[in-house]
Amino acid sequence: MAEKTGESGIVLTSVEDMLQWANASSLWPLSFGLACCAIEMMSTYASGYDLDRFGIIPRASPRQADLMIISGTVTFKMADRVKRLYEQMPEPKYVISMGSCSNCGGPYWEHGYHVVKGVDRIIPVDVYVPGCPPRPEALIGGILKLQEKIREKQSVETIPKPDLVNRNAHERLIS
Amino acid sequence: MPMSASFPEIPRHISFEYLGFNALAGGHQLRVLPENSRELLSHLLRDSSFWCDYLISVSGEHLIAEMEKIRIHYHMSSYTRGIQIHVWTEKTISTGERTKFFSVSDLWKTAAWHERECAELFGLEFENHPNPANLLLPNDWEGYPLRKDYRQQESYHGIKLKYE
Repeated sequence: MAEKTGESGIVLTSVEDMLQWANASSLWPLSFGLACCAIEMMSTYASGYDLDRFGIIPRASPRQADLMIISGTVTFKMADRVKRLYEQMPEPKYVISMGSCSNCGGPYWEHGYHVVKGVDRIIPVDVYVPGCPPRPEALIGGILKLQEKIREKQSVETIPKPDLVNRNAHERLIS
Repeated sequence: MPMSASFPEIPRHISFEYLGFNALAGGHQLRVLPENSRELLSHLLRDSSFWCDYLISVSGEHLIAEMEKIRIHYHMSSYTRGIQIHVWTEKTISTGERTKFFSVSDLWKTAAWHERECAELFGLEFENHPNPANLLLPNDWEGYPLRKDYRQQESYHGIKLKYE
């Protein structure tokens, strides 16, 4: 928010700033988990770490979600489903890749014939959270990073359309 | 009940080979020819001196030494008789089509899933299986991943497989 004037309860801001503030403060992730990272993610949602205080409430439908947390190993069988779910989410949408498996294939990088070597091969990723699995603090760190990124964006309108099957899509999202 | 090392008698018309008792490798070791496997397994389930009501697993093996062969292992035990048995049978891989084995899913329901897994990962066909669809792999996957000579495909649905 740009500025607050006096005590009269009037806030001066631009529409863009307000939208970005709303966007960053109510990230609604799609509730689905893929592997052991999902256990850490569930723990992050639960009362101990309480993602609710960041305005994060899991949604059961991609139509209502604007954040996708890829929490675990993405197999080729699941890749088609992940991609479809991502396409069903309305814009603007964000992706957090949680854990080594979805970052780069993790322990399956060499001999795992069934694992996609990085979820960024199928959908653009905004924030990568390292770890195997990352602790809840690390996931919260990733979410705060994403909020920072949303607030820094020039305009909600300028969010580029997702360029699928492109490893470097996330880099262009930042620049 | 402790694991029993004595092996009950089996009628002469059922042919198999008794290889001894090994507590670490699933109890009594039995080798059987694929054409006689169903008769033996059915006897192990139904005969009152065995009563192997618990099929622990059906697993496959592609031997490195004999690359032309696929081996199927059946591990079973009996809750009431305290007996544990490991039966295995092997067959030469048939070229051009899936190697055929008898399904035992009508004897033990557990076998249905185990056989589906074996079938897709080793390229087998279990005859008279109620639902021979893939269990783990996508339907359009190429090759049989647990074969020793498996070469993975280059890409799947436009996604490159190799890490680079």
